[in-house]
Amino acid sequence: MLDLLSNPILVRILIRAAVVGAAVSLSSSVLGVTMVLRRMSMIGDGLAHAGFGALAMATLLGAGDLKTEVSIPIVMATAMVLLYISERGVLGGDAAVAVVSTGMMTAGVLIFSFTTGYTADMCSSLFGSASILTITNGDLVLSLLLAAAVVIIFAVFFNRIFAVTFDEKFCAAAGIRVWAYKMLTAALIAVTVVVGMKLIGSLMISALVVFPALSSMKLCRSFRAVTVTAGIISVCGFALGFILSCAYSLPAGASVVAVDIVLYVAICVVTAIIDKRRKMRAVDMQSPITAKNAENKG
Amino acid sequence: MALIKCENVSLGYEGEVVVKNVTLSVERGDYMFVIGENGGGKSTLIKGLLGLIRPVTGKIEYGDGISPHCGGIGYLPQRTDVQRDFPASVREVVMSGCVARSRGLFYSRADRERAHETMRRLGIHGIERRSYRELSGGQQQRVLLARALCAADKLLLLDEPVTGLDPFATAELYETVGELNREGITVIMVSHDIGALSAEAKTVLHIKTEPVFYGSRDDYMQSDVYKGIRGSKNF
Ligand SMILES: Nc1ncnc2c1ncn2[C@@H]1O[C@H](COP(=O)(O)OP(=O)(O)OP(=O)(O)O)[C@@H](O)[C@H]1O
Ligand SMILES: [Mg+2]
Repeated sequence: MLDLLSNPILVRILIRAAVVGAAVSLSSSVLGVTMVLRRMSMIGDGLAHAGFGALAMATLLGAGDLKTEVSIPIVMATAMVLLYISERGVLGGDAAVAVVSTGMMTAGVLIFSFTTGYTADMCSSLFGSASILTITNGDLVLSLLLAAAVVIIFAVFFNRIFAVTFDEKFCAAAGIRVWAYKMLTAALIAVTVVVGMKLIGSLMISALVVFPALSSMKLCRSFRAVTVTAGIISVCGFALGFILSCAYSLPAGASVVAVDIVLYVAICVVTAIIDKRRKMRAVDMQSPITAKNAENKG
Repeated sequence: MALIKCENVSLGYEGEVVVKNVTLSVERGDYMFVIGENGGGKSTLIKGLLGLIRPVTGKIEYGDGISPHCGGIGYLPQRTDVQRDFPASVREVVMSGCVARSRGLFYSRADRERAHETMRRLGIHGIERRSYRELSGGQQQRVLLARALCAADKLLLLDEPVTGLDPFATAELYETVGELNREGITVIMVSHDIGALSAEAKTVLHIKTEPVFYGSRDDYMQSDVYKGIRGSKNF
């Protein structure tokens, strides 16, 4: 790894990939909190799979270096279709996701095998790039724009996003355009998924949506704290995973996701132990009489 | 002009009608109790008035500057879809009642004061910083109630608000709602609490798939419907 760092071109490529990854991790985790709490995380997963199909379509359309840019509107359109179907109850919630995501996957595989064949391109969009050389300056710009958009939108609309995440019905009655917030989340997650696909892989990108959110929900008590902490956990997890992937030449996606999973499990174990300690101390502190009462009450 | 006017409205789910022939007119400053047996369609009517479900037939008209989706309406659902383990502080939940009302994107000083005052009234200001998911069922109910009260500028719809509340909180609730009503906020409350009805209500709607009584409280107390439920023990 050290000899890698002596080569300035390689260093630039490494930094570019790191920035893209950190930006994607930040956006995915912040969006992830509201998606997980609204039981929408399967939509994120479905969109990630749809992203694979979209990338194939972009290849078919001859998008060349602009594949990411061409895929984004396709995945966004898929997101809108998914929202519409699950809202209308045409198919039960997650059946809609399954139908759309497998449909897009199939389209992707067929297109790839008719055009370029099973190539490195296809492999990298499924599992993430083994080589970070494929990250372009376009990806860099897109990911920074995305992260900026997510941070600004969350900062400005935070109260509304919380209200809608907490209780859609109440908000609809109170006069908030719930629909607009749903579309916005879906659109942002669509971009996140496409931008992150090259580095992380479409099969694993939804891990970046789910795990940091779950971890921080274990740690924090307010929505604000959960959102901020999820972002921090996700970026740190990415940094660690990325360093490991460089050091041991692992695919970036898999090693980042592995770190996220390990973090989540560790947080679960630690919070469980702390909870148990606290409960035991609480019982110890009760006077014998109240402890007895508590026992009697069951 | 009436705040809400229903003309032969019927409501239901997926085309199946569960409440029909509702004709009513809620005036500004009204305090209406909606009562009736389980499954009578009370909650369905409330959802219809809120525009959460569309009338199957008939039309609901709104006047006096209110309409669903325009703000100023506080709503306490009977059963929320809110997950019990949602990570949010009590303060965040109560303040979210102000979201639709506040003009800007951020809470104003007035919003904060109002939230604080409401929490104080309902006895939850001491647990302001605690997490919603750590509260007891009754405490959670109070938090959602405080949120509804924060949102209500013109109209307050409460669907069985006293469920799960202890007697003190119940009394405090009726007092707070009564006070808001005297300040000019229109209240529609679903309740099984006949005692509260005789003390608080101005008008009564008794519903059993269709309205069996709609009129003033005093007329209701004289009516056969009322005597029927007083006489029978199964209410
Ligand atoms: N989401 C729904 N989908 C289909 N049917 C429903 C739905 N909600 C309620 N119903 C039906 O509508 C009828 C009226 O229900 P509603 O909840 O309005 O009664 P209610 O008067 O509020 O009863 P309760 O006193 O138990 O709260 C019931 O027969 C119920 O089965
Ligand atoms: Mg009901």
